[in-house]
Amino acid sequence: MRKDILIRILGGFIIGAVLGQIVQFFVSLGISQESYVWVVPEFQALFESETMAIMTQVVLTGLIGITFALAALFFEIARWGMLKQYIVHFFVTALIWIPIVVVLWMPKTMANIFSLFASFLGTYVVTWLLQYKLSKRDIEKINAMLIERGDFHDN
Amino acid sequence: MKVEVSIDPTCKEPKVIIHTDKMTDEIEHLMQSIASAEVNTLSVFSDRGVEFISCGDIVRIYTEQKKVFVQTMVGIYIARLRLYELVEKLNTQMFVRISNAEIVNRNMIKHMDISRTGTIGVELTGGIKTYASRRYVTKIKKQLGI
Repeated sequence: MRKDILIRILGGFIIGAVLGQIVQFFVSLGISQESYVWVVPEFQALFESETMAIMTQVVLTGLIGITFALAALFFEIARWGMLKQYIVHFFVTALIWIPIVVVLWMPKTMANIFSLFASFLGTYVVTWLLQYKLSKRDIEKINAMLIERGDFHDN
Repeated sequence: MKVEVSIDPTCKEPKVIIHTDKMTDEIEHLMQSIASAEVNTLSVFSDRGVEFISCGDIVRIYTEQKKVFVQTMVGIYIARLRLYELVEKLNTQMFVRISNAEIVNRNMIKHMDISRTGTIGVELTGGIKTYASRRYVTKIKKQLGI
């Protein structure tokens, strides 16, 4: 279990940092300056050197990765049920990644932050509904099979 | 024939050695019965010491506070192995994993249900109620041959 958590932390950091750089690549294209933009100017302004800003960006995006890697463990707590798993997962991850993304990239308007939050929430609602329906269908099939097996044993 | 047991705390897995001057039918039968007992039984701890239980009698095996428990219709025992080791050792035709922390005897599954909040319940023989993780439901279905 401890080894599993260490692997999650390490893997989460790497995946988070790599995805962060991919996002940065598209952000750079969007800003469309002559040379590559390693960090957005608003974020750069918080630091004295560009290297410090880039390193902080890597660490912060890595942190998002770690959060998601560890939060996935909520889905292993069978006793909670899917609703609680999804709600806890949503808030724990949102608490970490929304502030980080806002600091790193977003133009700082409330409307933008809200749309970010809403699209994130929407994804969860859709996924939850799908997973619930799939589970329900699977369980109905399993029960039908169990009843059949029970009849077979009785005979 | 003399039977001897030597207790060695450093010994990880029990090993049976037969000392003999020649191979006989008796020895061969003995080897077969020891080997078959190994496949179908599991050694567990109870308050009376080490016991051997038949795998077919096991209802479920679950982890709780880092300990692995084996539940039968008769009682609850403590396993000597970790859950993943048991998964490797036990017959996959008989046992199915229902969550990270639990495997159950598929012949003991009576009924499954899902609550409004998405808690997936598994009802086992003897009125034992437990829970499955969503990601194992599909695997259970496959293992039951649906």
